[in-house]
Amino acid sequence: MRLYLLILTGILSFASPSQAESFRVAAAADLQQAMPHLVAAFQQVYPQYEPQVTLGSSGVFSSQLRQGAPFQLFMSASSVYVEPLVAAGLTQDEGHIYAYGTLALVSRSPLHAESAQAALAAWQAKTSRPRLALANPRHAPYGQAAQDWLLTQPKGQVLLNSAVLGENAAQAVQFVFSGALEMGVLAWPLVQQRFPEASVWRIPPESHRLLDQRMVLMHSAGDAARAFYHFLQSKEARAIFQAQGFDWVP
Amino acid sequence: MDAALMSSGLHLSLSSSGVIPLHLQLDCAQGELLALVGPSGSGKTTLLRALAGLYPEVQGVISCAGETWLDSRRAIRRSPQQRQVGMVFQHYALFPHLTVQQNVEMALLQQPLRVRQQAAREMLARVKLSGLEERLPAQLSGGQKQRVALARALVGEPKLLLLDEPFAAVDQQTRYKLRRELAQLRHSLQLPILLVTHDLEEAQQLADQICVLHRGQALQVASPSSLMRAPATPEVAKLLGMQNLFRGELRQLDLSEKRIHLDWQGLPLQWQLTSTQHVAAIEFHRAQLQPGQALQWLAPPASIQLFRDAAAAATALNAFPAIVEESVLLGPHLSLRVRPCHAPDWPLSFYLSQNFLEQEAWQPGETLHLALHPQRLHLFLPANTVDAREITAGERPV
Amino acid sequence: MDWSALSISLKLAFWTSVLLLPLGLVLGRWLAWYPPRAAAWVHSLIFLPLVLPPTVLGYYALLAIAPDAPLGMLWQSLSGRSLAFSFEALLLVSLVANLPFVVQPISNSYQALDRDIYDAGRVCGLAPWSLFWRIELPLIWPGVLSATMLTFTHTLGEFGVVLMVGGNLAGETRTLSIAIYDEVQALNMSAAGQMSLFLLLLAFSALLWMQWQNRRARRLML
Repeated sequence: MRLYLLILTGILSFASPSQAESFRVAAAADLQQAMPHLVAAFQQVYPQYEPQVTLGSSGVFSSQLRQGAPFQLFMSASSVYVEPLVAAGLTQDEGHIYAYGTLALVSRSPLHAESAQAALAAWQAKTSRPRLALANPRHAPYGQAAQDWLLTQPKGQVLLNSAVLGENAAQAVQFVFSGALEMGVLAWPLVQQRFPEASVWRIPPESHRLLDQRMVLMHSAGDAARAFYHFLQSKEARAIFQAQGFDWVP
Repeated sequence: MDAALMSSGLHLSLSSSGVIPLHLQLDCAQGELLALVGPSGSGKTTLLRALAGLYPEVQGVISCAGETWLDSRRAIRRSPQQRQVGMVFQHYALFPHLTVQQNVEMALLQQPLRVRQQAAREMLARVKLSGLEERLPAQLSGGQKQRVALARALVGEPKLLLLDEPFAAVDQQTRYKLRRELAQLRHSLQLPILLVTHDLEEAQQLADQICVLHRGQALQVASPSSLMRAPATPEVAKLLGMQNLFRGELRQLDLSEKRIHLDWQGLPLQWQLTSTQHVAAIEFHRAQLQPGQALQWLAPPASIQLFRDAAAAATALNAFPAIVEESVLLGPHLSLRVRPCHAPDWPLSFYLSQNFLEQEAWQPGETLHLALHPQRLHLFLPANTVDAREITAGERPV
Repeated sequence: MDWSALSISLKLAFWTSVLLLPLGLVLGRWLAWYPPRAAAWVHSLIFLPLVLPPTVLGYYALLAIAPDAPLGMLWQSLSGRSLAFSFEALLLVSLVANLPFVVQPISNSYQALDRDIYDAGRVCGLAPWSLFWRIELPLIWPGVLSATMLTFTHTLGEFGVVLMVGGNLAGETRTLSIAIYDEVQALNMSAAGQMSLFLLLLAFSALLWMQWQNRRARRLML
């Protein structure tokens, strides 16, 4: 009984409901770095609104939204995962493309290579059992894009077969960052500020499918979510996206 | 039934066809101690539990102190809580998390706190446990636990006291002491007491009546002395551990002399009737008592007389020579097993006391002369002669 | 430290323990004292969550709580809220997942309880409710304690089912274990380390406390 009281007081003291009107945002994991900046800039203008952000893979969000997950704004890493929701009539409109994503090849140790292709070949040549990190192509757009690029490379299928798949773009980055894996085909926005220039090679966007990052308001969206939706289309937001490694033209 | 309800003792007529069958009728007056003896599985504990209301798979009637506790036909079935029974369980079943005082108070929960405390203290004093009120059961000796259980059973002023092997879990010394205490205490208790025991000696020492139970049936209910002297059937005799049970053939009824002549493997035996009840019983069974009728009879220890030589034995009735087969010294007693010369297949066993031994040494192979006292023999009448093979030696109470 | 996640974890663990305890008492007592004819079936059913991968449980839970499933619809009509990806859904799944942790210790305690002691209470005139409070509960207390602690700590540590059914919503279904996963993905190792250490210490001290309580209870009885 004493224990229960202890826990009860604990719960009550922690759970102080916030005063701001909050709304839920499902954001693709490649927005992990950009999101805090975007939210901070948004709250400068709308301090009364508080976005509650969940990061994950766009494919998982899409299926959760179809099962009734209570997100008001969905920021996908690709249009592909927005379209079924629009078709199912779950969204307010067709949404809006807020940025374009790109990939990078990342190595933990520096390699002398001019391009991603050369770096991959050099690494393959000196590694007996090459294991790459990438996001799961089954439901993460960055994984699908990485797969596209790899298939244009020599022995790309072999690399794909032995790749370690992250649950989403962010987890794939973490595999390399933590040292578990030597190299990865990762989301550029997540690596541009974390790895030294000498070990990151950007991958040309024309070598993989388009990462047209579309966002869409769900039917449950209120004023707060709508305000954020509009803010993300503002010049200020675009500047942040650009600074965080996103393009705003394909 | 109404007449039975009017009187204040315990009356029961129960039957159950469960795992342990019950089929018996019993009465126990106020202040009377009825001991239930019988082999394990005979239904002793089940009967106690049925009386306490703890064994629901039972039909029939139970009335106690003028109240009906069970009447299947009238759909009366009081819960254990409504019966006001005091019960001492075999392993006492004290509440291990409560002190001695709290254990006893638990039987008085409906009373106000002060009354409860006072009554519990007084009862504990009565069973000589003053000063141990704050102990936990784990801190008590076996004898002390038994007294707490007794105090808990008695403090609620029950209408019936049930004791399930109350002395089984203590050492011998404590057992004798507790028995003496119970013998003293029971005279101040005006309620029927049922004692389950597998110890015949205990039953003889404490009980007014002994009920011999077997397979849920009451084979005989009698005072300890008449039970030991005259078990109703060979089955009862075997259950009570009696030896020297034999078969004979009826030769002649001589009612004018109150005498019965038997033939035991060629040896003529005489049985002398000692009471008018015996005569009445014989009269009652007269139709079956034709010459040639097979009868079972018992030679109780008190009926066996010993003679050193044939000349001395010749003066006695029912005398015969026998050869010592086995002679074992058991403390102050000598256990003898002898084979009668005329019927070597029917050995007799009995004990001799120490002072007998100083005079004589009985060695195997030696011949001695026995005689069976005609008034102390016990004859089973045919109506009561059950096939004794039903009872195996392993089930015999110690 | 993600306080909101900690609060959700504690809230989930607290309600799971509190709601499961009465159910565990009823089920544990029933299985130990009045084993039904289909006891093997009942046992297997109760212990299923113990051996199933959390994802299997999560899969069926997702099916059950979907807005167009009977349970989801019932909840929607009663509360006006969607059950999917809500704290209540998490709690519901947590209740099922922890059933074996609460039933087993309590059932064991009831099995170890001498039935004569219970019968002695009945003969003493104790009504069923007093019997429970004064005799049964104190005697099965170590089992109740184990059940509660196991449920509590196990719920704190639950991950797979929570992720699948809860969907990682901040302030609603993001528990501490999910928050740790998030922080690791965000390469925020120090925050993940803090929370992990906190959970480690909490779980360890809970188990330690339970051991002490059990030993004390046992000393009292023997």
